[in-house]
Amino acid sequence: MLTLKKVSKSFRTDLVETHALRSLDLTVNEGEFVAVTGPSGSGKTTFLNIAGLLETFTNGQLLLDGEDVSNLNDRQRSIIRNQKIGFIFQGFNLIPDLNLAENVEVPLRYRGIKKAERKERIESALESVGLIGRMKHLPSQLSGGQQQRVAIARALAGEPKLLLADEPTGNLDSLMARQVIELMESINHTGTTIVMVTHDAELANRAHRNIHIMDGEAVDMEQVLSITQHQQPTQTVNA
Amino acid sequence: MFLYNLHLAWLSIKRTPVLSSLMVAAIAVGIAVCMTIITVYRLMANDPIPHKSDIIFTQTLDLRDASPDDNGNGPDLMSYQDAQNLLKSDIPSLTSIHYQTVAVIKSSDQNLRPFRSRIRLATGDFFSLFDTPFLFGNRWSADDEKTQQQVVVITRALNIKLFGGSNSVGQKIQIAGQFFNIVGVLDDWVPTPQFFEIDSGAFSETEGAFIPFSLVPTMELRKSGGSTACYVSETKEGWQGFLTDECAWLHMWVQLDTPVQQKQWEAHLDNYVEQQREFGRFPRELNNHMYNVMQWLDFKQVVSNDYIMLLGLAFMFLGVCLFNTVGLMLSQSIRRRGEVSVRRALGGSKLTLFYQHMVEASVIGLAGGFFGLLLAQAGLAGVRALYRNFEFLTQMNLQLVAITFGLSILSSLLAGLLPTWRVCQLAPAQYLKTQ
Repeated sequence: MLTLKKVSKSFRTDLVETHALRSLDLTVNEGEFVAVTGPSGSGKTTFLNIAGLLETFTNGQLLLDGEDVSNLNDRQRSIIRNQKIGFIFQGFNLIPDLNLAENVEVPLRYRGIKKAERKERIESALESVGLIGRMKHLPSQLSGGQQQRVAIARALAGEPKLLLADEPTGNLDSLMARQVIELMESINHTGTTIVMVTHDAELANRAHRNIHIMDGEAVDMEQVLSITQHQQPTQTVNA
Repeated sequence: MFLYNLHLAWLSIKRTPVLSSLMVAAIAVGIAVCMTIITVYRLMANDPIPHKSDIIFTQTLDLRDASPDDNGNGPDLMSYQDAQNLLKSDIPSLTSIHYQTVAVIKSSDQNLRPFRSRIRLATGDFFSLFDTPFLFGNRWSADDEKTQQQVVVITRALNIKLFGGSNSVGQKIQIAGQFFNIVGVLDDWVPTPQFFEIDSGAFSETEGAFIPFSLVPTMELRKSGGSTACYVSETKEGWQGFLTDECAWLHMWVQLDTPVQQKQWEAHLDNYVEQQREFGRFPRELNNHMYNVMQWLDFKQVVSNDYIMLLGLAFMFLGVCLFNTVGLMLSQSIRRRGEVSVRRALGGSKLTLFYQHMVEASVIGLAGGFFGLLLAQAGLAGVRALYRNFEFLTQMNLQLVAITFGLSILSSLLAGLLPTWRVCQLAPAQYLKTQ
């Protein structure tokens, strides 16, 4: 579903050059639920933005659904984002002036879907997150968990093949977080590929596979764990 | 998508009412000032008779004496004897000689007190040449003119005043103590500028009545308003003396339908002056000129340089208002970076978002145009109050209303260009995380 081949991303200023991603090789198969972990500043979000065609990269190749999307123009990238990718953000990112139905409608509008079908999809998406009864409410009238469910409904309405989630439970309490992750799991069961960036180890463990990014590179989690275990007694001694 | 964008524009305006009101106000004030000046300017520079302004001409013959004079142009007006001589030519399709006077008008209605009114003495071709519209009746006939019949064409306003607006053809009124038979009533007719007689006011109302020019020798109605220039050391006595003096005071317009006619008329004027020289007239070098309507308005500087400068200043003021609007729109665009980023992530291309924001700018412009229009009406009322003669120049027609809205939308689109372009260039990823 998603393949990154030696993808690098660097930011250059007059004084320094920062490497956000260094020759990142990574593959996510169709239908997988992958968690991307790593310390702050390791390049997780940059990876997610590149995978979501929100950011360009310096070198390498990006394949999405078997199509090379490395060198597309803004319009082509927008179309792919609209048709194949769904986003869930930590801060929900709902548009405050629009009610729930209108928020869910946004990607469908950009796709040029007719009114009747839009209505059907909006109702179906809001129903799947349990908020059909509140479609005329504004985001500010909902709790954080509900807002995140609306964001998920918005992503679902477009029937994306790939769902990218950036710390989707980062702003939620544990109960709300559990509801959201269960919702994501059920979405994954319908065949949608999910890539989720998270700091939460428990959340990461619920994914099929974990990819750990450190200093802009994907590292083998087993190797990391063995190093960590190897270093543990020394640290204890020192302490 | 347009209606959707209109809906989004409305939501955005509702979200930031103060900022939006300031933007609308900035555009409204700029548009109001601009449109007030444009309205006056446009009517001043208007082609008053567009369908034939290039085939009707006035001409000047330089009958000044030989004394040195800095002004290269001769008098704008024609002497009575020259007008009478040139009237005999059959080159022009139509010829109008005319001037304005003031006389007392009295009707048979005893309740209506006699009053002074402006009267124009004109040859019968005046009505055909200037395409005056008739409400009732028609112009007087060539026979009426030749036999010096006391016939009159009155304006609609005078007809309302004297006869309550009913068909008055066949009725009689007194002008300067003489009875005149009404043969026609003009419909509303206010050529702006009043090109056929600029020297008594290019923007004044049409006079109340028109009587045949052939009555000049007998009626002895002196010219009122405008200039009369005599180029003799001593003027002759009496009205008949004045008519034969070298005094320029009459307006003369001709209709020359073809270029051949125009050339012939030009040659005829030159020949006429050469011929008159044999009688000791026209001591100067040949200095004849012909002007069509727009050339005449230009020559007479109906639109003075002051107005052109004022127009420039008005546009500069609109520019200042637009700079303010740009600033306000920029600050608004900073507030909406998050929303733009979300829309980009959800599949909105730069072009789609550019369109959305330009629709919003147009809505602001439309609102600015509406309030600008109201303010412009107030501005024009102010001009009317200050300058009484400008009454006809301060009326906004539908075309000017359309220009107001067009200009305000164009202004807001220009003002919205930079903020919209900037907001569309945002890297969406940056604001998705921080929103």
